[in-house]
Amino acid sequence: MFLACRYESDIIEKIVKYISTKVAPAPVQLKHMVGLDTRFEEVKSVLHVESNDTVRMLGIYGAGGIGKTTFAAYLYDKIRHHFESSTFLLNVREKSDKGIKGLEDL
Amino acid sequence: MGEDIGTMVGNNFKGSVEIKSRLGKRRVLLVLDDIDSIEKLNLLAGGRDWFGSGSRIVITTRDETVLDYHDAEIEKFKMEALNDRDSLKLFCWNAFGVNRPTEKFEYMASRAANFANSIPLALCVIGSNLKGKSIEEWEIDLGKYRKVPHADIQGVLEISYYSLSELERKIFLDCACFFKGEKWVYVERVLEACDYSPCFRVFASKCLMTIDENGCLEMHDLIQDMGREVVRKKSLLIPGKRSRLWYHKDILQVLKENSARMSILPPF
Repeated sequence: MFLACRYESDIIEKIVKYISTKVAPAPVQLKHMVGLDTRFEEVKSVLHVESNDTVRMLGIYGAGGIGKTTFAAYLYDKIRHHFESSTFLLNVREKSDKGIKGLEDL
Repeated sequence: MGEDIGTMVGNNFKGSVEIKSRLGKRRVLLVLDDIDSIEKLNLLAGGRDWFGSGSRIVITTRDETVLDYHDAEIEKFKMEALNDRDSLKLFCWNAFGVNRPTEKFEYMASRAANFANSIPLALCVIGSNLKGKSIEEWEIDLGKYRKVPHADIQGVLEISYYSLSELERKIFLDCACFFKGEKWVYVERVLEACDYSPCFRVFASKCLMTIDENGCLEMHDLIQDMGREVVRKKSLLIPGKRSRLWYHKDILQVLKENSARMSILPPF
């Protein structure tokens, strides 16, 4: 499908479009990221993303509005290529409060 | 590239069995956002043996204790407020579209950013509320923020609500009370049927609501709480006097006592 294009730039554009449809977007809109990279560096040493020995769990806690979800989304985007599968369940509390139906959506 | 594993998992029990059987041998990354109870955490990630070796489970929560009573040890990371420099940067992105204030606004910007107590949500909301305004208008608005008690984020958010027109306020309250998470095309249809013509741009520009990649209406919990609180405050004790009812117990009480006033709007 890509060979039908005459110019390299057209081919690149087509490839980008094609790949974009295959890649899930970031779970939340990430713009104006401030202070997330330094936090990411701190968390990286805890997560040991490349190590395969065990299952590790990380809990990010803090007050509402402090940016936990944004940071989790940033983290997710940065490391998900290391994994066979990845998923981001947004707003578990709210969805499950709506009853079983909410949990089904997850 | 990881393939998406978020699918239907049925009821709680079926869900946990399903998660185990599907993911038990795979190296997965799972983010569980906004977990408020140990039960929910156990239903979604009951133990290390649910996932393949090398998997990572990331949980976000407001309640640190949720992380304490899990079979597997959970490493904790405390999300702290931003430092002063980063606070000002985030504020400026929202207020000016760049990461530093123009010379004219330098003093005003740091004063305004202070009202947010280094909380990112508040920095975004205050910044976008002041965006495009003249220095005189900033002065007036800063006076409003000054009156909000220290650390009262709801009060800060409310100022953005009161900066909306009357019609926009009605639409915002409807969204906060009934429509969070619904498809925007549906919301638009309902509102148009009420003779409101919703202009989403206003809400987005004030960081009050967004539309996600699935076309669903999203707003931060604290912003939704603020909207619902505006409605609830109209009458704290008598639900029948409020303009909107969304909580089933309130609705039941109003119906039983037949205490609804004309001002009440039905939940859709």
